[in-house]
Amino acid sequence: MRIRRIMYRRKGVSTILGTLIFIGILFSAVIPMMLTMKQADIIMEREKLDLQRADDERSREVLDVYAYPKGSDHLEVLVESRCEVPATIAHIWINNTMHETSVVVDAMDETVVGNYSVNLSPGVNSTFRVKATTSRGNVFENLAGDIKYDGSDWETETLGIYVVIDSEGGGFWGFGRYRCTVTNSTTYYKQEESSITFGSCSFFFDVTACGSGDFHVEVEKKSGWFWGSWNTVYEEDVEITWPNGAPVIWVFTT
Amino acid sequence: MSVKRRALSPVIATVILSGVVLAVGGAIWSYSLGAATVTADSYISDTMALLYELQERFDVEHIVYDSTNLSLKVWVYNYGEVNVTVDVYVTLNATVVESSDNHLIPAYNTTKVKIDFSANPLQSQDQVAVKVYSRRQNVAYQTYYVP
Repeated sequence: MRIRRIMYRRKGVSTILGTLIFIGILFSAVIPMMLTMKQADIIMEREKLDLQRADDERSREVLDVYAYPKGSDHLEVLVESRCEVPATIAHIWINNTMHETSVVVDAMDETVVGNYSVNLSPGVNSTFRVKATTSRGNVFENLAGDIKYDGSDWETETLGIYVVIDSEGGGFWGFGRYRCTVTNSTTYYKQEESSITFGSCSFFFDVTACGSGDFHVEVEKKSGWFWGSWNTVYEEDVEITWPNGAPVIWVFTT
Repeated sequence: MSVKRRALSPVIATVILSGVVLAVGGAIWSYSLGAATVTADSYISDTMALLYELQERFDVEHIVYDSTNLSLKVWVYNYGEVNVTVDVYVTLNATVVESSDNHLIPAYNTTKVKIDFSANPLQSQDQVAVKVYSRRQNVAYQTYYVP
């Protein structure tokens, strides 16, 4: 009976050893492998999130680039931010020449990026195409198009006033119409009217024909559907100083 | 006496069985450890390769055709955080006319790729598509009108 008991007890040794080996494999090989894989997955997910955020910031990056003459043979580049993320200007291109920079333009702010020498020959026509590349890879061209030097004077493709009305509604269920008038003291008078709108609208006034100078901007609003009267909601005197300043002026109102 | 000897064979059997279990178990353990390490390394390697592929960010920043030297210059901007190796193909009327391979662009840098067109000069008003393929199979392209 005693021997049988001993034999009975020893029957479990292999099972115990097998179980121990199985647990050993589980803890020394499988679990570390799974932890390592999980860690790789976590790194991947974190990086994907970072990339999504970077791509989102890139898509939200909106800059206005203005280039204008400064001195006899220099171009100054001004960048205005129209977005809520700060942007770093990585390169300024003047024709086929790249100028490296690292100027940061804060959100909704404007910064002179630099003053760049250009080759001008008296009596010889030159055209300059200016663009700025940000560190997020966006490329923004000079808003006023190419800048031309006709051998004695500077020209730009467009002089203009951009009026942006950011409305949150009001009036009859928020519907209404906007009328914008831009005048100067001499020849320029232009009025534009929006259709019935809810929210934001914008107008662009091309003043290339009358050149640089002082302009008066007036924004009126008619609340309601067909009735109501025009009420002035915004007035501002602006000055286009081209070729000593930006050729396009932005007016923001609410 | 015979009763005492009867105990010997179960002990030997148990020892042999344990030895076999240990030997086979050890072999399985060793194999499992190796297999798990290889699997984990392979998984990490694949994940990192995919990660680098996702992290690649580059674009065609500027193109100019030099009609004097008959070459097309393409500036490719790598604004991502990993180095990129690119091949540049120029197609005209859906046919690849010229290409230039194996250009390494370090992270946050711009590289100028010069493509020789002396054998096949472009004409004014030609519209070419410049396609930049990375070795990780990302693509950037831009259309260019020859002035």
